[in-house]
Amino acid sequence: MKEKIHSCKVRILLSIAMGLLFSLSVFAQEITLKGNVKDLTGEPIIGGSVLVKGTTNGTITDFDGNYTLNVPSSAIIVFSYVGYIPQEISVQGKTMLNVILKEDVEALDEVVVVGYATGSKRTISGAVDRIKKEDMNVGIVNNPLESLKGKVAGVVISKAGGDPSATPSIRVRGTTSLSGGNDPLVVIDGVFGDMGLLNALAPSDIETFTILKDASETAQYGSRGASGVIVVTTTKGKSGVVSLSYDGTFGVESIYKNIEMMNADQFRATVLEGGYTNALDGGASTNFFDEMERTGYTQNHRLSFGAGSETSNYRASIGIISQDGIIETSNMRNYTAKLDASQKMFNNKLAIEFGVFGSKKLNNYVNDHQKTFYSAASSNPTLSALQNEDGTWPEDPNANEIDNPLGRLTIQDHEDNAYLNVHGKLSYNFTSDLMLSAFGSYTYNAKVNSTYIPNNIKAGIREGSGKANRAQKGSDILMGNLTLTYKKQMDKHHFDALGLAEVQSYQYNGFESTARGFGTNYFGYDNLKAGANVKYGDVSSYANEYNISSFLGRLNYMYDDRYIATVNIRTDGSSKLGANNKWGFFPSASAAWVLSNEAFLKDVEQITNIKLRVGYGLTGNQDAISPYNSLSLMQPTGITTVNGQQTVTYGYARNANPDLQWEKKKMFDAGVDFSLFESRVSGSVDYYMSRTSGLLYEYAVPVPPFLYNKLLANLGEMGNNGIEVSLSGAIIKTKDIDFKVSANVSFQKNKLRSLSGTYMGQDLSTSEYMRLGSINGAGFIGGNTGVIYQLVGQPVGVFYLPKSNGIINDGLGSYTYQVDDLDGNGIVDINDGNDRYIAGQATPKAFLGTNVSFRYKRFDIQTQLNGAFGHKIYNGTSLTYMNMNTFPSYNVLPEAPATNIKDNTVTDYWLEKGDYVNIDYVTLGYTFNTEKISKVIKNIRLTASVNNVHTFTNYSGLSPMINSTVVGSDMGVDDKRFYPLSRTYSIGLNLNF
Amino acid sequence: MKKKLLYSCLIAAATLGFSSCDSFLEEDPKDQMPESEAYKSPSLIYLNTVANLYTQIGATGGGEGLGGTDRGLYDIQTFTNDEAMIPTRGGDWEDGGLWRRLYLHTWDKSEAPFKSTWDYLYKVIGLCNQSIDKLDGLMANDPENQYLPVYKAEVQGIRAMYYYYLLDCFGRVPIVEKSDIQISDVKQATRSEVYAFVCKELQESLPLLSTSNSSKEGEYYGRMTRPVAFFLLTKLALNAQVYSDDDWTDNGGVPNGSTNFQKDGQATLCWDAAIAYADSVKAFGYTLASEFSANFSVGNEKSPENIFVIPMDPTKYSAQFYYIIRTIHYEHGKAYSMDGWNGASATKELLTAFRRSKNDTRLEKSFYTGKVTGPDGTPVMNGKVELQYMPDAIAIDLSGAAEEKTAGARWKKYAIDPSAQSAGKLQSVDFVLFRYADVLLMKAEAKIRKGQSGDNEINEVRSRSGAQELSNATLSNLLDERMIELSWEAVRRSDLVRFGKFTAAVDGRQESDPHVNVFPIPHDVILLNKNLTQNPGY
Repeated sequence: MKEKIHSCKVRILLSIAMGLLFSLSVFAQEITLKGNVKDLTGEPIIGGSVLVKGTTNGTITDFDGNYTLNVPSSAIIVFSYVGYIPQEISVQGKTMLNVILKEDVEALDEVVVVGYATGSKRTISGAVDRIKKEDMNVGIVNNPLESLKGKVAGVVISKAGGDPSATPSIRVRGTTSLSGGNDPLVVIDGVFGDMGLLNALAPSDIETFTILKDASETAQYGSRGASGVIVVTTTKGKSGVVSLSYDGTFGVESIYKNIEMMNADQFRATVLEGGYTNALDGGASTNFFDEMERTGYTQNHRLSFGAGSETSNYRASIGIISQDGIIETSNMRNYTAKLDASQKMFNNKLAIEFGVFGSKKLNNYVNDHQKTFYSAASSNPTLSALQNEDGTWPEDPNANEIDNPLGRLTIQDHEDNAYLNVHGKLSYNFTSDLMLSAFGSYTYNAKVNSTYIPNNIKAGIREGSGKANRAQKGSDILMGNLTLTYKKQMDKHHFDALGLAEVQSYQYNGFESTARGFGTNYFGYDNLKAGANVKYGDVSSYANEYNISSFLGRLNYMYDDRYIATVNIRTDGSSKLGANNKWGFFPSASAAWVLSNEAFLKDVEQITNIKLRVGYGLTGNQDAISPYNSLSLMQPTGITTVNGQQTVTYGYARNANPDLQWEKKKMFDAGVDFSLFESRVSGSVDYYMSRTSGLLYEYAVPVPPFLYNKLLANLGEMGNNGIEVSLSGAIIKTKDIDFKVSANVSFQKNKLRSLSGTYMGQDLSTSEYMRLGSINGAGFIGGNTGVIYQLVGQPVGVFYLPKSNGIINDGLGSYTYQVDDLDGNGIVDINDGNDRYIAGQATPKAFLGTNVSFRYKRFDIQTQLNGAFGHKIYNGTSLTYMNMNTFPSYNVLPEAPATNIKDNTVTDYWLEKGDYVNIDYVTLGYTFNTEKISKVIKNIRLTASVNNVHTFTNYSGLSPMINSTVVGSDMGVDDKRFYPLSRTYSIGLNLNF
Repeated sequence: MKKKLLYSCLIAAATLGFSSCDSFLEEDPKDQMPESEAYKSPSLIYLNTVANLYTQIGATGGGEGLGGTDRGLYDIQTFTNDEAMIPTRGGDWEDGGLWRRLYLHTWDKSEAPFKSTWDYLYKVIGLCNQSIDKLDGLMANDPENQYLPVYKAEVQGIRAMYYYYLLDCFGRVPIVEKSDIQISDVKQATRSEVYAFVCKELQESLPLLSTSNSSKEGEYYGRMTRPVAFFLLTKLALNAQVYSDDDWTDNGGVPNGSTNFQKDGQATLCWDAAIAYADSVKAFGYTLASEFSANFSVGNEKSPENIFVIPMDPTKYSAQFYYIIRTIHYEHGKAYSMDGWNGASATKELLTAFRRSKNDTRLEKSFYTGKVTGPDGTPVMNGKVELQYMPDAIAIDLSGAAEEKTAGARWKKYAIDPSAQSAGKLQSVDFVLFRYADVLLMKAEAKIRKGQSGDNEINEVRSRSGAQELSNATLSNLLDERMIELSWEAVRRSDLVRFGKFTAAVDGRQESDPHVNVFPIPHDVILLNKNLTQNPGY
């Protein structure tokens, strides 16, 4: 009975309350609520969310932490901010609510997407770096990678040369493979992609970058993870916020450094003085660089809008990046669009996420940088800058290796690159612990390259009166996975388990055609039928595909917030590999100890967090293998006449290797993360060591027994190790002044340990001296012009050169490079293996990235400095332009005639130190006070930036920022291909409504 | 799009059950085909065991092709002897000193043209071995088939020709006859063994080779036929003393006719064998073209004299032709809308030989020696003055000389094809490898060496070009005649070796050591296969 009465009372009370609520909501008065949100130290919380519970009615706090919001007098208001514990407060008719938000005790417990797993930073035991929007680079950022440059220790992003529209390259913990697969895997909202797909995003649509550097986490991606993983999370609609925002920058690019050759007067004087009888004088005075250059413009606009409630949200964004380069005719346009929507159904049991993004990038390139800039520098300055009457361009006939650079600029070199991705995910929560999700993605890429070499320039005449080429490449990439996740917190035990099955299908196709012999330049590459000559091989196509299927199991366990262990077990099967080697097994394990949560440190106030980590894992790489590589297949080999008919014959186009298998990389990592003094100072230190074995490479093999002198095989071994340190400190943190400094340093060592092994039961070792790159140009064709090599026992990319102690008088008044007889056999022989030595490495031994930011009230200023140290650069540009042997057909540097070197022998004479520190940008910003107009506009910010401010270096060439990290023929070699250097001055505007 | 998305979700769903299923990881090649497709019909068998070898005779570059397209066989045969050089012209043709080293006989074992020549010759031998293995397999299954042995003979003949070039250049090379072998199976033979192998293989293939005249356009134009094999046998017999000698560091001695040649199983005096083989070639109807230049002009596929050529045609084939481009001046090339690289020039020795020959028109037919005209007959200008080649100013290093860019007579033998494409590299004049004039001169040489008169044959060649006839021609006259008639046709090096004169001093070069008579085994090849040893002297 008592119980009954009790329940009765409850019912009555409940109904009264409900009724009251109902009536209140019906008759609720709208009141204007004002107030202030601060943290425990009394600092205002800027951008904190103020939301009427259960509605989308909300606002965010302004610069002083103030807010104003019209609310029903009975509302419950939710105050929240990232890293702080949300508070719910009933208005109860008050018009003023001042709130103090407490920092979340687990302030570090940010949601981190660690590959497939969505965990929290607290439970991570691997080496994971996270760059949030506010930490990304500012100023002119035309490419997502540029927003990350210099920010993460061990992640080297560099753009070789001065071409502002060039795409930067990236290496995570250095080069670990000899061919292919050195670019990290990019995962955009779950979609696998490469650097190209990353460019399909507007930089400002990226919310966070999470960089998985260490195998204990990259092993989740098995065969795709060997070179690191960049997980990109894009901006989505936020619940409770209706937003419209605009970001824009406008910049002017101007040249600040050109290579200065002799001008026409100096040229004539040198001809006269040297008594050159075969010198050409065109009667003019031309600086070809000046003729080719202009002021560049760059613009970047992005508009986005979105809204959300607790159950659904959407966001859309469109953007354009437009760049008119400093060289006439070069430009770039990148149009991007993105739409994301998500919705929760069935009592929040089912979550649907959908995303689509696409881009169209149009590029007009300067065709063949080396040829063009070599021509610009070396052309006779007395030639006219105008076309000849017959439409050709003035040239010195004896300067065969160069063309008139202005004529070269009429070459049309266009790229049209379109990406489209659609992805979706269904997640179903069986219980609050158990979730099943299915993810699917489709990526389409169509790239068309079109070139036309006009019939009135030297290059076009050579091709037989103009040449047009169109090459179309397409790819269709499908991927899908099923993930089952289980999360459980039981007392002090925290489990996080994940099981995954995944398939990927890659399909590629392409078509190319070439025509020559154009009577008119009118059509360019738009009408190939206008070309008279199409021969065998001018039309070609390809189609191939490969599949990968994978299974992954992951377990993350934490005990008492102190001990963490993570185990990943992945197995990948790839169709590209040899029949017996299709499957690869990629396990990893890591452990961490949160020292700061131990009793003996828990009460030390200065220590916020200390975590010790150690991990080990195995990853794989198969990018160097093309589909069908392991099979013995026939391809067209050429054309011949059989019974009077032209007939195509077939044959084996390469040495087949049925034993092709995964290149495997083992990696060990140990590190510590710390934050001190209430997170005012934080940082991490990591040591890693990796060993790549079964290196995939096109090894030199003997002919006979092999048919071809290259064989793609798994031989050899490479080792890498390094130390990474990053530190950041909020030195001053007050209401009016913020002063932050962050820096990261990484030291990297690389060694090619072996290039031999066993192939089909026989020992195989490749050539001792593998030449990567040589100097090009007049007089450099063939011979001992090698500069950069791959040698066993050395880092990938070493300078292997004859030793010179200077220049010596050859008795005729001119000078040659003295060359040491290093092996002391009495003969100077600079062939590989003879009088040459290891003179240095191309890859920097240390990298530095530093950011300094300072705010005073509403003004702020920020600068980023990047540097690289311990490497060398071969100045092939000076070697070429100081050689008086090529004068007067080729112009030389002003100091060349006096120095009078008549030699182009490649020696270490022109090998220089490459150390530099570059001030990447300086940005000044002002955030307007929008307090009074906050109903209309929430944020206005204006910035002014200078990009590429200055480089400190002793390198004598145009710039030390050449390709020093990507293994290839131009690695470490500055050889006449450098774009003039430019600086960009820009203003930026950011509006949030 | 929706479909694709749905599809990908479906594959994901299917994964759990099926992705271990093997077919998902099996490859079904799309733009390449399995071997089984390549031998499905008799015509495909011919195409992919025999015809496919002919696409390898010419080349698009990389130092490949029997014409040594850009830094290959042709260059090491030509720019190493006293008829040609590519002089250094300031910055041009410096190329790390390669051309000087070839001319000065100071080449290194690592020179790129040696490696590209070796790799190319053995690549084609490897392809021949694959064809022979395939044909052997097919013959075992079908012993009645009468075509398969004929195909095999043709492949065997081609392979012998490639071994002939290896023999001539590198001497001690491995004999490889099978396609499925290991590195350890590749063992070096002596020069005499290689020589015996080539002679045996050619004679074995002879009976089944086509008797077609290979110079007539049709089924066998540019193919390995019986006259081609006879031509090679003539060469082998004439050089028997050289090729059967395993120690060339003593400069070979002077051939004295004492060497026997195994002809049809009989030991025959090599000069007699050479004469007999030369007559066999003639029996197929080859004659001198009435006009010397007709062998090298547009339409030279009609020449009755050319025995074996690399067929060239800008639209039909992809084989490229560099020889004229590489010699003529930049402006000279430009006048004809083609490249001119201003390189290869005639030596003083070659000019002297031409000038010594009375009433001879062949210098003017073979070389540009002064001013030149464009296709419209107007003079080619070099800046403001007329371009003029200066034959006698030639020297191996012209840097800084007044005639730096113009010194040297330039090769004219091959006509410039007005319909050439790709800057002149694709054109329709066939590249001549073997021709009947060489056969006549070989026969004359064999006769003189036997103590007979070779005047008839020599004078047949000379009178065609209006040169004064010789009487009682000596070996020295004959060598001169070969130099003039066959200038820059890649035969001079082996001629000089046979005469013991390859190492003799020439303009700008002292006498060289006899080890240079044979080129080094490419250094990389030795590094990669430890079974092989380097030729003496390197």
